[in-house]
Amino acid sequence: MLDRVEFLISEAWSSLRRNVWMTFAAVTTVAMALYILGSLGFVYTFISGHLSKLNQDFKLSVFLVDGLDEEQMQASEAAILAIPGVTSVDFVSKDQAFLTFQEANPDIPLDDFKNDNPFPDSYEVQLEGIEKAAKIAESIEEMEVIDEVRDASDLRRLLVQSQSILRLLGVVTGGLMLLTGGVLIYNTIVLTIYARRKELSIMKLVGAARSSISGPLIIEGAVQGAIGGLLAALLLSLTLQSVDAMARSLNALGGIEPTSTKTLVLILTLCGAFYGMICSIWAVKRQVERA
Amino acid sequence: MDGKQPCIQLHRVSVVFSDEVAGLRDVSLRIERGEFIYLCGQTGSGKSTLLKVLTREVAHTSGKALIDGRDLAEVKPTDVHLLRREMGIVPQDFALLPNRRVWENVGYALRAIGKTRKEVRHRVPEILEQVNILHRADAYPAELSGGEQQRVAIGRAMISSPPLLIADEPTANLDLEHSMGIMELLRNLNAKGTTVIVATHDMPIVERFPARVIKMEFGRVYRPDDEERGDA
Repeated sequence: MLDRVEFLISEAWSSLRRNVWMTFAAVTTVAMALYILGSLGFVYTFISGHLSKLNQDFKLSVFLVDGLDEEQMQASEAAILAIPGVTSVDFVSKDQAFLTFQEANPDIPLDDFKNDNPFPDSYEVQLEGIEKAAKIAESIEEMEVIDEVRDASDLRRLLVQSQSILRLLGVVTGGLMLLTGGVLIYNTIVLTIYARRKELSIMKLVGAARSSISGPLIIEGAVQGAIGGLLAALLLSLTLQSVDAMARSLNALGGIEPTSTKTLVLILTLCGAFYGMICSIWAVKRQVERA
Repeated sequence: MDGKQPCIQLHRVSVVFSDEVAGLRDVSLRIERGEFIYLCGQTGSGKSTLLKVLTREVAHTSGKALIDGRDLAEVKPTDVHLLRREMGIVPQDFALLPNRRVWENVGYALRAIGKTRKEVRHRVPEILEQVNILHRADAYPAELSGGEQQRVAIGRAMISSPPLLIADEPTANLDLEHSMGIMELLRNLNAKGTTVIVATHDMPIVERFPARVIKMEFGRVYRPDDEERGDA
């Protein structure tokens, strides 16, 4: 058994060495395709996570006009709470808002504003979901004591649009690259079949099993795909580490979820090997009989 | 030939490529086990097509073709390799790998049919000895004469010790001396029990090494002697 595997692998290896440049082209194209797909997939997942968090944790910031008395405050709070879809209403005083801002931005000098606090009193209105947000915001805004209502629907819209664009980009760019990589693997195998037509015809003459004839060619395709996947994984891992470092230094989005290089290598190498195998099976099925 | 089991039986076998082009037309013949047969005819007479039917490189379109009682039409594509292990095939162009030595050419074929390295080490000298080329085991094909290359090709065909050997124009590219040597070799293999079919148009060789001749013309078997037997 081991002897058999050794024969198949040594045949595949000699084929790989025979078409070095074609193999190089196929491997790099598959690597780029998987890198693009991996990157877009990662950004897509990242945005999806944020969207779902935004949906679950959707709040309206409701700013009150100045000079309200206690009775007006209580009445407005009760009126907002009575709107269907509102789960809770938390009062944030102007002093509290000032403190929160000061804590979040310690570098900004705010001493001049200590006696003239520009923040208004406000409510943090928690909703059941994002669907009715616009309608609820409209109802609240109609109240006389309300100055302004702000929500994150613009951000959400932006994220949804980005997600759609990424999906399209992933399908078009990644798909095209993957197709090109596949065609290159196919061509490499066809070239191998052409270069080895004498060996293949001898194999057929002496009664070699189909697995002996096709096996090395399929292994060759799988190896090309696997190397492409490995390169893509390493490149993607480096990119993610750089983006994470950049995001943390800018304090943007709180950094990114780390994905281990091992996991990336495992997933992309397996995907590449599987894809390479499929492409070479396609080539073998079409070409070996003719060789 | 009475008392012997037929090795090959063809009954009205045709290979039709299109309405106007046929490789074989109603070919009937019978080859006994252990026979030495010449398949003669001009280029395009159907010799190669007939050999390809036997090796299942070409499927016959009508009639019945049996090898050792096995109907070739019933051999599944996935089992063709098993059929070919029951026969040795010597192609016209030798088909040797130029970048491998003589022993590697034979060893490669053994490896291709699943033999281990140990078996290869054991079998290759035996096979090369059988075809009298062991003394050139380390030579590359380009360093060999045509006759020596043909011996290697015959040796490679014998790796499974098949009961049937099919040689397509084995003397076509050889001078008389080498042709004689190859024919001697084929006769020796036949004397040890291998059924040998030689496709050739080299009539001097046929006359020098007499055996039953199946003559082909325009895709048909042409031989009055054979017709008298009821089939070729």
